[in-house]
Amino acid sequence: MIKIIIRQIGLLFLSLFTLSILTFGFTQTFPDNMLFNFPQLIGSEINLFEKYLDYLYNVLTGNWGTSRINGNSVLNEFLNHIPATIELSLMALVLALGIGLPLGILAAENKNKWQDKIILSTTLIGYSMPIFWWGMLLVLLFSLTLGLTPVASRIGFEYDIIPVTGFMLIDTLLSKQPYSIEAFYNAVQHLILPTIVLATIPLAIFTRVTRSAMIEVLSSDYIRTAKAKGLPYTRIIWLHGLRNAMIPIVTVVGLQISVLITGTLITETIFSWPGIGKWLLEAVHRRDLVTIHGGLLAIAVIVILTNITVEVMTYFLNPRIRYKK
Amino acid sequence: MISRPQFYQQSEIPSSIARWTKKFLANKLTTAAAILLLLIVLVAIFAPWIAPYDPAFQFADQKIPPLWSSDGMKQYLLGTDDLGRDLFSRLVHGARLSLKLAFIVVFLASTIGMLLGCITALSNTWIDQIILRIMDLILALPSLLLAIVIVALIGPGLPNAIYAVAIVLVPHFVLLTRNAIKQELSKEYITAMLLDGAGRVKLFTHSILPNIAPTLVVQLTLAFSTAILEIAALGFLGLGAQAPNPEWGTILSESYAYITIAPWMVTLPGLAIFFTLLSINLVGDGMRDAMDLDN
Repeated sequence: MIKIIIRQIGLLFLSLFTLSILTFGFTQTFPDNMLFNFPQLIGSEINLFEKYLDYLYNVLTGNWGTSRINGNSVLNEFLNHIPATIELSLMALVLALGIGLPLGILAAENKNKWQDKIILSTTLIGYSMPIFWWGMLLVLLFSLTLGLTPVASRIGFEYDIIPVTGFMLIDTLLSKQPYSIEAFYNAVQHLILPTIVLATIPLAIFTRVTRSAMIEVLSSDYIRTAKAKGLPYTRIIWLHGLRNAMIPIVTVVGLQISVLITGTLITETIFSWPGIGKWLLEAVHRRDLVTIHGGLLAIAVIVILTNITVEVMTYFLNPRIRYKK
Repeated sequence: MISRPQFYQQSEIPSSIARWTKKFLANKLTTAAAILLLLIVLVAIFAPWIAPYDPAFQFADQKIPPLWSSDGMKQYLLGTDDLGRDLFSRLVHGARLSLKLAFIVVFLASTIGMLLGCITALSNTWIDQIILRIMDLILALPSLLLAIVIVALIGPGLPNAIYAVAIVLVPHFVLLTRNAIKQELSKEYITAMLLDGAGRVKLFTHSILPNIAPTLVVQLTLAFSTAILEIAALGFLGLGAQAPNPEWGTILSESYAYITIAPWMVTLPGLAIFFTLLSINLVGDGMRDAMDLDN
């Protein structure tokens, strides 16, 4: 077990090293090397290796350069924008898991019956949905035709919320304004459509993975023993079955982080959500390479860290590895 | 087989392709999807003859709704857009453009990816490890983000978007090819071939390639849907095909501003993307089932 974890940490450092080479290569293509301010280096001749070490030092000490557009520190800009994205992604993840797991189990229980067929074809529809179009359709139906939800942004302009944590749901409740509860409901309303749009593809994937994992588990001998012992059906499914099916599911949940980030790029554009995706796309349209570099670096580190954490989590979930000497 | 009563009237054993086709056609849904996909491909190929007008020609009638609504005009089947261009012609030409771009992307990505995959699988050296590390890193990054960064680096526009999406797709092919070959190499019939004195080239072309071909074909099909989706997404974000091009994602991003007054400009291009992706995914799934491949 410890050996495996040490191996994973080694892999983590290897991945981060490869990433640093990649991003360093990216900075070398900048038209003028204005990424960081090195007054001591201007004019002096240094080789590529020294440049790389310098780059590494700057990145690790939090000097990610300043945006060419507004002169702010890129790291600060990133930290200002990330809570909105985390809030949206977490909601989407919860929604996708909350619906995907039961649906997948339902499909596995009724394998090859009509319930299974309906669920499977629905997931295929969800999987084939271009989410930018899906977002527009939802806006057309729920916001413009029925008038149920707002069209864009995180909160109505009539509410003045001072950011404390950056998470709108928490900030509205923390605020001392008399309308903090209404503001909270307003923030929830703003969250609904983007969450649905972002959750669609992970939902389809979770349902399919849960289904196939559960089918495999339910056909195993120990489930038959449990049935023969006369245990209640729900107990067999949710306790005995799901526990073993969780291992592949957790792996796939970890892989979805990169799908979620791809989704936020599009979802935030449609709903004018002031998160990482919108920030990065604006930087792309303005060719603000310093900001793009910072965003890429930060997102890549987040994805790599999540993947490794999930990998280690599956080891703890799996007794075969947990008790291995 | 030997125990069959009419030993001398042996029926022909169907070839693998014949068996796969039979099993594929037995599923009505995938057959319907295959027919739909065929129709879309035919529309794409014969677009200039099917489309009634030039996709960029601007008529004086702007924002005319489709034929089935009360304000529709019979000369514009799916209505016109904000600049008076015939939407049906634009969508038909868009099919041609989208499928052509996806074809180029998949061709580039699969050629490079499979070559690299073969190299990594057959060379047990540090080359294998280096390529694997890089591919793992690219796979870990969100695909659209990487494509956006590449486009940001080399500038927006169609050719650059194609390169970006192709680069993003390469690692899938590398890993798939590598794993498939490694899996075959560990099987006993390969050992038998080696003991019979087969050379490397012979082993590869004669034994491994025919056995990994089904996996690769399914991956090729599914890569098509990814390619179409990513190109459309880049077009939607304004980084892929540029304005006058009738690319589906670009049409969608232009139409979003008119969603309240001309909703058909948003719904119809999206339907085109959706049905194309759905039919490709259904055909891919059906092929996987028919060939008995596990995920």
